[in-house]
Amino acid sequence: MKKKQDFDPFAPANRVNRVEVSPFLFSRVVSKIESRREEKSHREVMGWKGAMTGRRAQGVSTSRQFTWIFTALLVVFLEVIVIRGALQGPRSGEVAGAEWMGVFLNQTEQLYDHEN
Amino acid sequence: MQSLEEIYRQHAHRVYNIALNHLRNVEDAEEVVQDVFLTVHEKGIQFEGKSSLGTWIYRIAVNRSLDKLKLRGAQKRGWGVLQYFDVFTQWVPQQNTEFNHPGVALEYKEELKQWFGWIDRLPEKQRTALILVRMEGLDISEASQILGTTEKAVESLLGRARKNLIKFSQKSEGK
Repeated sequence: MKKKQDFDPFAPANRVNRVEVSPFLFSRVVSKIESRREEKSHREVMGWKGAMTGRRAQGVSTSRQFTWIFTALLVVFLEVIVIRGALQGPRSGEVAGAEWMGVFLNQTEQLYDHEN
Repeated sequence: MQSLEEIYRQHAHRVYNIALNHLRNVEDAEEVVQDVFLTVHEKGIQFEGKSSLGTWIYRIAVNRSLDKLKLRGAQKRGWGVLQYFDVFTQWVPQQNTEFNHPGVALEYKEELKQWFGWIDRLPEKQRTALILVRMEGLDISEASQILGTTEKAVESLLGRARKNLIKFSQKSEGK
């Protein structure tokens, strides 16, 4: 019977042979690198950054575009206010205030009625 | 500066064997080799040169192999349940856990399967130290650089691994 000190628990390691790596593996690594590179460039073309880069290449300034869009939206907003005001007709501030207070008083009265 | 192909020719063999001895599965080990050299290609510029290129590459190989083992463990613990539901199985990355080590001769297969089973029960660092020093034939100083520790610590890891393996073998004999 083997004594405890004779037993070498690392001995089985000597029975494991070294294995040669497949010669086709490197071509798989290269194709993975290429597919990642393609994916990256595709993402750049399709993404926001890519779109902006494309526009810059066409000579379109992005900051100038944003300024125009912002100005157009501001003009539309102001026109809506003006048109609404014109439709409601001329009103004095006093009338508008009284109307608002009226609504407020009515609501308070309703609340008072409801509680009693 | 070396090309990727040159680096691959120099180090792929050892990377593959490190992965194979950790995972005991050809497909998984090949995946690790691919991952390692993709990382070398992508992060090669970031390599600081504090350690040798080989040490850096083998450290990546060890880390990737351990990650794969952890994924296997997680799959065994949690995802096994999901396999009862067909819907989920397509979302779960399947890990091949079959013992498939081409470096093991048929006559030793059963014995070594049991031995690797004990190795799997060792703590991570003990297992890696054993694989690097006893199976890969690296010297203690190289292994200590890969493990990011001192030479004395590697010797101590090997000593503890030896004791643990003796304990496991005695337990299996006592059954």
